[in-house]
Amino acid sequence: MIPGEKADVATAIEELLKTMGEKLERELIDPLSGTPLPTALILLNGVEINNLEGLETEIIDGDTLTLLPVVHGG
Amino acid sequence: MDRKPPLCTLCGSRPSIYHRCYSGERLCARCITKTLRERVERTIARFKMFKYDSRIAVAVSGGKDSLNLLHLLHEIEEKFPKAELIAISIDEGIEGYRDEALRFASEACRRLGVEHHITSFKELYGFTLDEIAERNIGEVTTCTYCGVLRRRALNTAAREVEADRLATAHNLDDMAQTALLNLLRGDLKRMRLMHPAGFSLEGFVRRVKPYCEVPERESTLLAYIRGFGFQTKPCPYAGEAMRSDIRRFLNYMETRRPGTKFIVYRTALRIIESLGAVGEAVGGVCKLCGEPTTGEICRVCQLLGELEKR
Repeated sequence: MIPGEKADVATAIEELLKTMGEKLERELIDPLSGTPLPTALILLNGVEINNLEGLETEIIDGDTLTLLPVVHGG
Repeated sequence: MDRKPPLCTLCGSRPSIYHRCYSGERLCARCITKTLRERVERTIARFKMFKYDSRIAVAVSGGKDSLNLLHLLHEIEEKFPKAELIAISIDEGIEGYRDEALRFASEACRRLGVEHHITSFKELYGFTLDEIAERNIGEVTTCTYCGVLRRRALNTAAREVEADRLATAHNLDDMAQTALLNLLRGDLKRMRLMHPAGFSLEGFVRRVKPYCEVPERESTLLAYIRGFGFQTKPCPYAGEAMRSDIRRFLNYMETRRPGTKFIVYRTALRIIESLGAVGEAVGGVCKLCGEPTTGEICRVCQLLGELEKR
Protein backbone atom coordinates (compact mmCIF):
# COMPACT_ATOMS: atom_id res chain seq x y z
CA MET A 1 0.00 0.00 0.00
CA ILE A 2 1.18 3.49 -0.66
CA PRO A 3 1.83 5.48 2.51
CA GLY A 4 -0.50 8.43 2.86
CA GLU A 5 -3.09 6.95 0.51
CA LYS A 6 -6.53 6.06 1.85
CA ALA A 7 -7.15 2.34 2.15
CA ASP A 8 -9.87 0.03 3.38
CA VAL A 9 -10.07 -3.57 4.59
CA ALA A 10 -10.67 -4.75 1.01
CA THR A 11 -7.41 -3.13 -0.11
CA ALA A 12 -5.50 -4.82 2.70
CA ILE A 13 -7.02 -8.19 1.83
CA GLU A 14 -6.25 -7.70 -1.87
CA GLU A 15 -2.64 -7.06 -0.92
CA LEU A 16 -2.61 -10.16 1.27
CA LEU A 17 -4.10 -12.26 -1.51
CA LYS A 18 -1.29 -11.18 -3.84
CA THR A 19 1.19 -12.87 -1.57
CA MET A 20 -1.01 -15.62 -0.10
CA GLY A 21 -2.74 -16.53 -3.34
CA GLU A 22 -6.01 -18.11 -4.38
CA LYS A 23 -6.30 -20.56 -1.52
CA LEU A 24 -6.78 -17.74 0.97
CA GLU A 25 -9.25 -16.00 -1.35
CA ARG A 26 -11.40 -19.13 -1.47
CA GLU A 27 -11.41 -19.18 2.32
CA LEU A 28 -12.32 -15.52 2.65
CA ILE A 29 -14.46 -14.14 -0.15
CA ASP A 30 -17.69 -15.31 -1.77
CA PRO A 31 -16.95 -15.35 -5.53
CA LEU A 32 -20.57 -14.54 -6.39
CA SER A 33 -21.17 -11.55 -4.16
CA GLY A 34 -17.60 -10.42 -3.45
CA THR A 35 -18.48 -10.20 0.25
CA PRO A 36 -16.69 -12.04 3.09
CA LEU A 37 -17.77 -15.66 3.46
CA PRO A 38 -19.56 -16.75 6.64
CA THR A 39 -16.78 -19.31 7.03
CA ALA A 40 -14.28 -16.59 7.90
CA LEU A 41 -14.17 -14.01 10.67
CA ILE A 42 -12.32 -10.82 9.76
CA LEU A 43 -11.52 -8.53 12.67
CA LEU A 44 -10.05 -5.05 12.61
CA ASN A 45 -8.40 -4.26 15.93
CA GLY A 46 -10.54 -6.98 17.52
CA VAL A 47 -13.83 -5.77 16.01
CA GLU A 48 -15.58 -7.98 13.45
CA ILE A 49 -15.77 -5.96 10.21
CA ASN A 50 -19.52 -6.50 9.68
CA ASN A 51 -19.93 -4.54 12.91
CA LEU A 52 -18.14 -1.65 11.18
CA GLU A 53 -18.47 -0.92 7.48
CA GLY A 54 -17.55 -4.37 6.20
CA LEU A 55 -14.82 -4.52 3.57
CA GLU A 56 -15.12 -0.77 3.08
CA THR A 57 -13.97 0.04 6.62
CA GLU A 58 -11.07 2.44 6.43
CA ILE A 59 -7.75 1.22 7.75
CA ILE A 60 -4.84 3.28 9.01
CA ASP A 61 -1.22 2.67 9.81
CA GLY A 62 -0.77 0.46 12.87
CA ASP A 63 -4.15 -1.32 12.58
CA THR A 64 -4.25 -5.07 13.24
CA LEU A 65 -6.25 -7.26 10.89
CA THR A 66 -7.10 -10.74 12.22
CA LEU A 67 -8.36 -13.51 9.93
CA LEU A 68 -9.98 -16.44 11.71
CA PRO A 69 -11.05 -19.50 9.75
CA VAL A 70 -14.32 -20.98 10.97
CA VAL A 71 -13.01 -24.51 10.67
CA HIS A 72 -15.45 -27.36 10.91
CA GLY A 73 -14.88 -29.81 13.72
CA GLY A 74 -13.91 -29.45 17.29
CA MET B 1 -16.26 5.39 6.77
CA ASP B 2 -17.05 4.79 10.41
CA ARG B 3 -14.27 3.04 12.28
CA LYS B 4 -15.91 3.43 15.67
CA PRO B 5 -18.22 0.53 16.61
CA PRO B 6 -21.55 1.36 18.28
CA LEU B 7 -22.04 0.63 21.99
CA CYS B 8 -23.13 -2.86 23.03
CA THR B 9 -26.91 -3.31 22.70
CA LEU B 10 -27.08 -5.24 25.98
CA CYS B 11 -24.85 -3.44 28.48
CA GLY B 12 -24.91 -0.09 26.72
CA SER B 13 -21.51 0.79 28.12
CA ARG B 14 -18.79 -1.07 26.22
CA PRO B 15 -18.06 -0.80 22.49
CA SER B 16 -19.49 -3.71 20.49
CA ILE B 17 -17.21 -6.06 18.58
CA TYR B 18 -19.77 -8.25 16.81
CA HIS B 19 -23.01 -7.85 14.89
CA ARG B 20 -25.31 -10.80 15.57
CA CYS B 21 -27.30 -10.62 12.34
CA TYR B 22 -30.11 -13.02 13.31
CA SER B 23 -31.08 -10.97 16.37
CA GLY B 24 -29.90 -7.52 15.30
CA GLU B 25 -27.81 -7.17 18.47
CA ARG B 26 -24.39 -5.57 18.52
CA LEU B 27 -22.40 -7.08 21.35
CA CYS B 28 -19.24 -6.44 23.32
CA ALA B 29 -16.86 -9.32 24.11
CA ARG B 30 -18.22 -9.72 27.65
CA CYS B 31 -21.87 -9.82 26.57
CA ILE B 32 -21.12 -12.34 23.78
CA THR B 33 -19.60 -14.68 26.37
CA LYS B 34 -22.44 -14.03 28.82
CA THR B 35 -25.23 -14.62 26.28
CA LEU B 36 -23.64 -17.82 24.98
CA ARG B 37 -23.18 -19.17 28.51
CA GLU B 38 -26.80 -18.34 29.32
CA ARG B 39 -27.92 -20.03 26.12
CA VAL B 40 -26.07 -23.22 27.08
CA GLU B 41 -27.62 -23.04 30.57
CA ARG B 42 -31.09 -22.64 29.08
CA THR B 43 -30.53 -25.60 26.75
CA ILE B 44 -29.45 -27.75 29.71
CA ALA B 45 -32.52 -26.70 31.72
CA ARG B 46 -35.00 -26.99 28.85
CA PHE B 47 -34.02 -30.57 28.04
CA LYS B 48 -33.29 -31.52 31.68
CA MET B 49 -29.87 -32.71 30.54
CA PHE B 50 -28.19 -33.08 33.93
CA LYS B 51 -29.10 -33.91 37.50
CA TYR B 52 -27.77 -31.72 40.30
CA ASP B 53 -25.23 -34.42 41.12
CA SER B 54 -24.43 -35.72 37.64
CA ARG B 55 -20.99 -37.04 36.85
CA ILE B 56 -20.56 -35.51 33.41
CA ALA B 57 -18.06 -36.77 30.88
CA VAL B 58 -17.30 -34.04 28.33
CA ALA B 59 -16.00 -35.20 24.97
CA VAL B 60 -13.04 -32.92 24.27
CA SER B 61 -11.35 -33.17 20.88
CA GLY B 62 -9.18 -30.07 21.22
CA GLY B 63 -11.11 -28.03 18.66
CA LYS B 64 -12.84 -24.73 19.44
CA ASP B 65 -16.31 -26.15 20.15
CA SER B 66 -15.33 -28.76 22.70
CA LEU B 67 -12.84 -26.47 24.46
CA ASN B 68 -15.49 -23.74 24.70
CA LEU B 69 -18.02 -26.23 26.03
CA LEU B 70 -15.53 -27.51 28.62
CA HIS B 71 -14.89 -23.95 29.84
CA LEU B 72 -18.60 -23.06 29.92
CA LEU B 73 -19.58 -26.25 31.76
CA HIS B 74 -16.74 -25.67 34.21
CA GLU B 75 -18.19 -22.22 34.98
CA ILE B 76 -21.78 -23.46 35.17
CA GLU B 77 -20.76 -26.41 37.35
CA GLU B 78 -19.51 -24.01 40.05
CA LYS B 79 -23.17 -23.42 40.94
CA PHE B 80 -23.66 -27.16 41.41
CA PRO B 81 -21.12 -28.35 44.01
CA LYS B 82 -22.30 -31.97 43.80
CA ALA B 83 -21.86 -32.22 40.03
CA GLU B 84 -18.55 -33.45 38.61
CA LEU B 85 -16.83 -32.87 35.30
CA ILE B 86 -14.38 -35.25 33.60
CA ALA B 87 -12.90 -34.65 30.16
CA ILE B 88 -12.52 -37.57 27.78
CA SER B 89 -10.62 -37.52 24.50
CA ILE B 90 -10.40 -40.12 21.79
CA ASP B 91 -7.11 -40.55 19.98
CA GLU B 92 -8.19 -41.95 16.62
CA GLY B 93 -4.57 -42.15 15.50
CA ILE B 94 -4.42 -39.49 12.78
CA GLU B 95 -0.80 -38.48 12.52
CA GLY B 96 -0.10 -34.76 12.47
CA TYR B 97 -3.72 -33.95 13.31
CA ARG B 98 -5.13 -35.53 16.44
CA ASP B 99 -1.81 -35.39 18.31
CA GLU B 100 -1.83 -31.58 17.98
CA ALA B 101 -5.46 -31.36 19.12
CA LEU B 102 -4.83 -33.58 22.13
CA ARG B 103 -2.14 -31.18 23.32
CA PHE B 104 -4.70 -28.35 23.30
CA ALA B 105 -7.16 -30.57 25.17
CA SER B 106 -4.60 -31.55 27.82
CA GLU B 107 -3.46 -27.96 28.32
CA ALA B 108 -7.04 -26.77 28.86
CA CYS B 109 -7.78 -29.56 31.36
CA ARG B 110 -4.62 -28.83 33.30
CA ARG B 111 -5.44 -25.12 33.43
CA LEU B 112 -8.99 -25.77 34.65
CA GLY B 113 -8.01 -28.58 36.99
CA VAL B 114 -10.32 -31.06 35.22
CA GLU B 115 -9.50 -34.77 35.18
CA HIS B 116 -8.60 -35.89 31.64
CA HIS B 117 -8.87 -39.40 30.18
CA ILE B 118 -7.54 -40.36 26.76
CA THR B 119 -8.61 -43.57 25.01
CA SER B 120 -7.26 -44.63 21.63
CA PHE B 121 -8.63 -46.59 18.66
CA LYS B 122 -5.44 -48.65 18.75
CA GLU B 123 -6.12 -49.77 22.35
CA LEU B 124 -9.80 -50.45 21.74
CA TYR B 125 -9.84 -51.88 18.23
CA GLY B 126 -6.23 -52.75 17.39
CA PHE B 127 -6.06 -50.25 14.52
CA THR B 128 -5.34 -46.54 14.26
CA LEU B 129 -7.54 -44.57 11.85
CA ASP B 130 -4.52 -44.16 9.56
CA GLU B 131 -4.19 -47.97 9.43
CA ILE B 132 -7.93 -48.32 8.82
CA ALA B 133 -7.73 -45.80 5.96
CA GLU B 134 -4.89 -47.80 4.43
CA ARG B 135 -6.81 -51.08 4.60
CA ASN B 136 -10.16 -49.60 3.72
CA ILE B 137 -10.84 -50.16 0.04
CA GLY B 138 -14.53 -50.85 0.38
CA GLU B 139 -17.51 -48.60 -0.17
CA VAL B 140 -17.58 -47.33 3.39
CA THR B 141 -15.73 -44.04 3.82
CA THR B 142 -13.02 -43.48 6.40
CA CYS B 143 -15.30 -40.84 7.96
CA THR B 144 -17.96 -43.48 8.53
CA TYR B 145 -15.44 -45.77 10.24
CA CYS B 146 -14.24 -42.87 12.36
CA GLY B 147 -17.75 -41.74 13.31
CA VAL B 148 -18.99 -45.20 14.30
CA LEU B 149 -15.81 -46.16 16.18
CA ARG B 150 -15.54 -42.80 17.94
CA ARG B 151 -19.15 -42.95 19.13
CA ARG B 152 -18.48 -46.37 20.64
CA ALA B 153 -15.14 -45.25 22.10
CA LEU B 154 -16.78 -42.25 23.77
CA ASN B 155 -19.44 -44.46 25.31
CA THR B 156 -16.84 -46.96 26.54
CA ALA B 157 -14.69 -44.18 28.01
CA ALA B 158 -17.68 -42.49 29.66
CA ARG B 159 -18.75 -45.81 31.19
CA GLU B 160 -15.21 -46.44 32.43
CA VAL B 161 -15.09 -43.14 34.30
CA GLU B 162 -18.56 -43.98 35.70
CA ALA B 163 -20.21 -40.95 34.16
CA ASP B 164 -24.00 -40.81 33.98
CA ARG B 165 -24.00 -38.23 31.15
CA LEU B 166 -21.84 -37.74 28.09
CA ALA B 167 -21.82 -34.17 26.79
CA THR B 168 -20.70 -33.52 23.23
CA ALA B 169 -20.08 -30.12 21.66
CA HIS B 170 -22.23 -30.37 18.54
CA ASN B 171 -22.99 -26.78 17.54
CA LEU B 172 -25.97 -25.22 15.79
CA ASP B 173 -24.35 -25.67 12.37
CA ASP B 174 -23.82 -29.39 13.03
CA MET B 175 -27.45 -29.76 14.10
CA ALA B 176 -28.89 -27.88 11.12
CA GLN B 177 -26.66 -29.85 8.74
CA THR B 178 -27.64 -33.19 10.29
CA ALA B 179 -31.33 -32.23 10.12
CA LEU B 180 -31.16 -31.42 6.40
CA LEU B 181 -28.93 -34.40 5.68
CA ASN B 182 -31.42 -36.81 7.24
CA LEU B 183 -34.32 -35.07 5.56
CA LEU B 184 -32.67 -35.32 2.14
CA ARG B 185 -31.87 -38.98 2.77
CA GLY B 186 -35.38 -39.59 4.06
CA ASP B 187 -33.91 -41.08 7.24
CA LEU B 188 -36.35 -40.28 10.03
CA LYS B 189 -34.78 -42.85 12.36
CA ARG B 190 -31.45 -41.04 12.27
CA MET B 191 -33.22 -37.71 12.58
CA ARG B 192 -34.73 -38.89 15.86
CA LEU B 193 -31.30 -39.78 17.19
CA MET B 194 -30.00 -36.23 16.75
CA HIS B 195 -32.24 -34.88 19.52
CA PRO B 196 -30.07 -32.85 21.96
CA ALA B 197 -31.63 -34.50 25.02
CA GLY B 198 -30.32 -37.91 23.95
CA PHE B 199 -32.04 -41.10 25.02
CA SER B 200 -31.70 -43.74 27.68
CA LEU B 201 -30.76 -47.28 26.74
CA GLU B 202 -29.19 -49.98 28.87
CA GLY B 203 -25.41 -49.89 28.39
CA PHE B 204 -25.40 -46.42 26.87
CA VAL B 205 -24.33 -43.37 28.84
CA ARG B 206 -26.97 -40.77 27.97
CA ARG B 207 -25.51 -38.41 25.37
CA VAL B 208 -26.55 -34.76 25.55
CA LYS B 209 -25.72 -31.75 23.39
CA PRO B 210 -25.74 -28.61 25.56
CA TYR B 211 -23.86 -26.60 22.91
CA CYS B 212 -26.42 -27.24 20.14
CA GLU B 213 -27.69 -23.66 19.90
CA VAL B 214 -24.29 -22.00 19.56
CA PRO B 215 -23.57 -21.04 15.93
CA GLU B 216 -20.17 -22.17 14.65
CA ARG B 217 -19.17 -18.60 13.81
CA GLU B 218 -19.84 -17.41 17.35
CA SER B 219 -18.00 -20.45 18.69
CA THR B 220 -14.90 -19.36 16.78
CA LEU B 221 -15.32 -15.82 18.09
CA LEU B 222 -15.72 -17.08 21.67
CA ALA B 223 -12.47 -19.08 21.44
CA TYR B 224 -10.75 -15.97 20.07
CA ILE B 225 -12.13 -13.79 22.90
CA ARG B 226 -11.01 -16.28 25.53
CA GLY B 227 -7.59 -16.44 23.91
CA PHE B 228 -6.83 -20.12 24.44
CA GLY B 229 -5.11 -22.24 21.82
CA PHE B 230 -7.32 -24.53 19.75
CA GLN B 231 -6.88 -26.60 16.65
CA THR B 232 -7.50 -24.76 13.38
CA LYS B 233 -6.33 -27.49 11.03
CA PRO B 234 -9.12 -29.41 9.31
CA CYS B 235 -9.05 -33.21 9.53
CA PRO B 236 -7.11 -34.75 6.61
CA TYR B 237 -9.97 -37.22 6.06
CA ALA B 238 -12.67 -34.52 6.25
CA GLY B 239 -15.11 -34.24 3.45
CA GLU B 240 -18.30 -36.21 3.70
CA ALA B 241 -19.43 -34.88 0.32
CA MET B 242 -23.12 -34.45 1.04
CA ARG B 243 -22.54 -32.73 4.38
CA SER B 244 -20.08 -30.32 2.78
CA ASP B 245 -22.67 -29.37 0.14
CA ILE B 246 -25.30 -28.83 2.82
CA ARG B 247 -22.87 -26.80 4.90
CA ARG B 248 -22.18 -24.48 1.97
CA PHE B 249 -25.89 -24.17 1.21
CA LEU B 250 -26.79 -23.36 4.83
CA ASN B 251 -24.00 -20.78 5.07
CA TYR B 252 -25.24 -19.17 1.87
CA MET B 253 -28.83 -19.08 3.12
CA GLU B 254 -27.76 -17.76 6.52
CA THR B 255 -26.09 -14.78 4.83
CA ARG B 256 -29.19 -14.10 2.77
CA ARG B 257 -31.68 -14.83 5.52
CA PRO B 258 -30.12 -14.62 8.97
CA GLY B 259 -31.69 -17.14 11.33
CA THR B 260 -32.02 -19.91 8.73
CA LYS B 261 -29.92 -22.38 10.76
CA PHE B 262 -32.07 -21.85 13.87
CA ILE B 263 -35.23 -22.38 11.83
CA VAL B 264 -33.92 -25.63 10.29
CA TYR B 265 -32.78 -26.93 13.70
CA ARG B 266 -36.00 -25.99 15.52
CA THR B 267 -38.17 -27.39 12.77
CA ALA B 268 -36.25 -30.68 12.99
CA LEU B 269 -36.91 -30.76 16.75
CA ARG B 270 -40.63 -30.23 16.11
CA ILE B 271 -40.64 -33.06 13.59
CA ILE B 272 -38.82 -35.37 16.02
CA GLU B 273 -41.12 -34.42 18.89
CA SER B 274 -44.21 -34.96 16.76
CA LEU B 275 -42.96 -38.46 15.96
CA GLY B 276 -43.27 -39.11 19.70
CA ALA B 277 -41.17 -41.37 21.92
CA VAL B 278 -38.36 -38.85 22.40
CA GLY B 279 -35.91 -40.17 24.96
CA GLU B 280 -36.80 -43.76 24.31
CA ALA B 281 -34.94 -46.36 22.36
CA VAL B 282 -35.42 -50.07 22.03
CA GLY B 283 -32.66 -52.52 21.42
CA GLY B 284 -30.83 -55.61 22.45
CA VAL B 285 -27.18 -56.52 22.67
CA CYS B 286 -24.70 -57.43 19.92
CA LYS B 287 -24.18 -61.19 19.55
CA LEU B 288 -20.46 -60.69 19.09
CA CYS B 289 -19.38 -58.02 21.57
CA GLY B 290 -22.35 -57.66 23.92
CA GLU B 291 -22.59 -53.91 23.40
CA PRO B 292 -26.06 -52.38 23.00
CA THR B 293 -27.41 -52.33 19.46
CA THR B 294 -30.72 -52.23 17.63
CA GLY B 295 -29.84 -55.12 15.30
CA GLU B 296 -28.23 -58.53 15.90
CA ILE B 297 -24.66 -57.48 15.20
CA CYS B 298 -23.61 -53.95 16.01
CA ARG B 299 -22.19 -51.57 13.44
CA VAL B 300 -18.77 -51.58 15.10
CA CYS B 301 -18.44 -55.37 14.78
CA GLN B 302 -19.70 -55.21 11.18
CA LEU B 303 -17.09 -52.60 10.23
CA LEU B 304 -14.24 -54.28 12.11
CA GLY B 305 -15.22 -57.57 10.47
CA GLU B 306 -14.82 -55.95 7.05
CA LEU B 307 -11.28 -54.84 7.99
CA GLU B 308 -10.27 -58.30 9.25
CA LYS B 309 -11.13 -59.74 5.83
CA ARG B 310 -8.49 -57.58 4.18
